[in-house]
Amino acid sequence: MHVPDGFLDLQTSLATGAVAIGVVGVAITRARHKLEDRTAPLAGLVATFVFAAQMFNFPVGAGTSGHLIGGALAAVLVGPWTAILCMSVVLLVQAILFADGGVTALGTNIGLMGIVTVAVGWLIFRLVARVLPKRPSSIAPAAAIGAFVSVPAAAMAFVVLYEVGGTAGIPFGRLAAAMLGVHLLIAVGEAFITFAAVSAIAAVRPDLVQGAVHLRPSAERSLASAR
Amino acid sequence: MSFRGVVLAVLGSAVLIVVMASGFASGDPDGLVKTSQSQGFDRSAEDSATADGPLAGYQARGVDDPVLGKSVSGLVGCAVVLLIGTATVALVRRRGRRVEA
Repeated sequence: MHVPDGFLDLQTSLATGAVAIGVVGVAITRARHKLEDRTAPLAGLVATFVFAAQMFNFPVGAGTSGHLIGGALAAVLVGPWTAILCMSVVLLVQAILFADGGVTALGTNIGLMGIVTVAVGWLIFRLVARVLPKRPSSIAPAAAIGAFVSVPAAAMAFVVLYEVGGTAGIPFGRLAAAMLGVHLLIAVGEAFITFAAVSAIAAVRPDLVQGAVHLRPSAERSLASAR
Repeated sequence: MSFRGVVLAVLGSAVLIVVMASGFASGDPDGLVKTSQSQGFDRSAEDSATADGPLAGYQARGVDDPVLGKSVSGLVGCAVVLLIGTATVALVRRRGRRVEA
């Protein structure tokens, strides 16, 4: 879903850039208190995994492909604030080294793939995790549902941005239908990969999964949140 | 599994995914590109300022074989993301400690 330069006008790109800078700034402040000595090294690993997985385009039919975005996955593994930082690093490296996503569009791409997918993925994950049984095996299905919803959410965020500042006038309903249709298919892949990755880590080390922190014994939990 | 084991498993899967992606990933346009084509705004895309870089488009310049070129660029990308990601978190934490001290 990497937006190239030229899709959105300069004002909109500047605005998304400003929003991205602001949210990343908040994420830096919030992540600081969440990162524990034990799990902090995971952030670089999660970013690396997301970068690698984003290279693997899978076919979704009709001559179209999609790839994992990874915002929901990162949020469940390292928490939403650190996830925003991970995703921003991935998107920055992609824009600069690989010309994947435009440079003036970097703020837009951080907004869509680094912030919207993380926020929506995390919120849905938390909601689903609340109704599922409180055990480690509930983490991966909840993460998968969060991942599934995060993709059409980001697609719709793009449609809204395009209506505000798109360089070609495309009717909202038509663009929304096209974007939603294809991204609902891609979301299936997103959910599947997120399920596989989260269940693999939750199976061997549930203590390293930030989204499973509510399953920890309460003494350890209060210690962790006090830091 | 030890923490070290998790680190190695995650890095190993990233390397495996990059190599597999180089050979087997779909070359079809992604959802956004496809939508831009069907809705007729794909031509408004402009070349990125970084489009002439040595790894642009996930093709390492100077490597003739496209699969190898993608693998090489992907592995370099993994190393760079790991480095910057780890450094970012380390910096965020160090600054945090100084502020609270």
